[in-house]
Amino acid sequence: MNRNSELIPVAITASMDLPPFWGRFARLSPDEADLSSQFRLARDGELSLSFELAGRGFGEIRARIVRALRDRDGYYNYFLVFPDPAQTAALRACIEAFP
Amino acid sequence: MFNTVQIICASEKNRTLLRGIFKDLGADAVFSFDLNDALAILEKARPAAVFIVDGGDPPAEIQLREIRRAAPFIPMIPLLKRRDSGRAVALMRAGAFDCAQYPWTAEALAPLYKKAMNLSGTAFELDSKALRSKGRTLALLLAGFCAFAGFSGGAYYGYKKYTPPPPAVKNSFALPYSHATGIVIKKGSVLISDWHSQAVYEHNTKDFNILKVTSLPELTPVAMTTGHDSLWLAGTDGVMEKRMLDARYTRVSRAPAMKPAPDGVCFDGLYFWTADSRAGEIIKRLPLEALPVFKTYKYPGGLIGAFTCDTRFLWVADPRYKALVKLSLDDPDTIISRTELPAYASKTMKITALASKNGKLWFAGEDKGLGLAFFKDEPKQ
Repeated sequence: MNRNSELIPVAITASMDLPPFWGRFARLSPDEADLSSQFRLARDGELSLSFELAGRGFGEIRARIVRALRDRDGYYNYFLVFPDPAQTAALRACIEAFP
Repeated sequence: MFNTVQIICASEKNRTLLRGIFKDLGADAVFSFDLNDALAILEKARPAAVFIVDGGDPPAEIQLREIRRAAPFIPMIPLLKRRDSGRAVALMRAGAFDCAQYPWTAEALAPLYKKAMNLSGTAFELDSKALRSKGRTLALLLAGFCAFAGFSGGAYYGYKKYTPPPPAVKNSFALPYSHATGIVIKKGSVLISDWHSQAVYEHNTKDFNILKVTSLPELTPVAMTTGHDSLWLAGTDGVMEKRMLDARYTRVSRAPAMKPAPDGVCFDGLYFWTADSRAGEIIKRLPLEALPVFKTYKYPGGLIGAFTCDTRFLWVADPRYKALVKLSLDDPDTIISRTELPAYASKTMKITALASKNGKLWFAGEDKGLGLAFFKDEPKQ
């Protein structure tokens, strides 16, 4: 396991009718991620994520919430999976090249 | 001190607001007018976190950079003046721990304040599935053995004793928002208005999954009802809007502002009824364009928490009585019955929206800051 120097900020679009939320990745792999956010999102919901990884921008990465837990501080921790194979491959290439 | 936070804020109005919020959170707030003032007292105050009101001079990015120089590990949280994810992400890249959205409330700032002490980095994995599968193999072998042993014994009892219970009907649902103001029951779905996100959410009746969210940026809904295939929404300004039940809830007309602004509204099929919880009044209105007052009644119960009606009765969720109160449409001065509401057993429960449909009463509100909706059968009395 590798570790970034900071928690990667993420813009989270949960609905086209609402302004996006934000949060940070606590863990990121090509297929799944742990996302921490102060905002409550609909369980089993589809999300669209935008973030920057190693200087490369990733936009509209599709993700599905599999599990949501609220920690004692009041933050929500979401376990996400990335269902799109093309986006997963792009993430894998970027993480493999990560210093 | 561990609970000292420093707040950089030039506006006296915002300082007053934030002073109250951080007092509610149990924090010891030290205020600075600007960056220079903040840097001058940073070492002396030794805060656990720094909150910066966005939009000041110099910009928040510079304030983040300079504070980071003086105190590299201190969590810094900009307080945004509107919900702007692009700005939030940019500030987080510039070193902010997280960003608070407007409106600033103790409820919204509590997680940020509490979390501000813990920082670490994003962990990367390439083959998370492969790594987990090793542990899974051993666990599956063990589980398989236990399952076989358990099955042989359990099958005997299972045959003789147990029959599967019928699936329990779920009648309570968590909501991803906590400021419900109105609830309307449609065929196969439930509409709930939320003042904080200025939106109407449509939920599937069965599992309460969100089917649609319609943002109403020009209206802060404080009450909602339905009548004659239309949706009626009351705003904070007392204006009642009639909207179509189409995909965007297109506005059809606006009634002149009612004074005081109602916080409950319903349509009994003939008349409109509005409720004013502060004055404890229930007002019967004629179904004309301006919804003129026909008669005003004093609510005979404790306090109007949520209000609705159907073609037979008026219904009130009364937090003072901790009960559902039933009133007659002809004589709202008299209580027909009051039925204890178990939901009020929670002292923090706030029921803020109520609807009656097909013998069921639907409730929406919040408990401990979390939104929820539930229904129960209409009381027999």
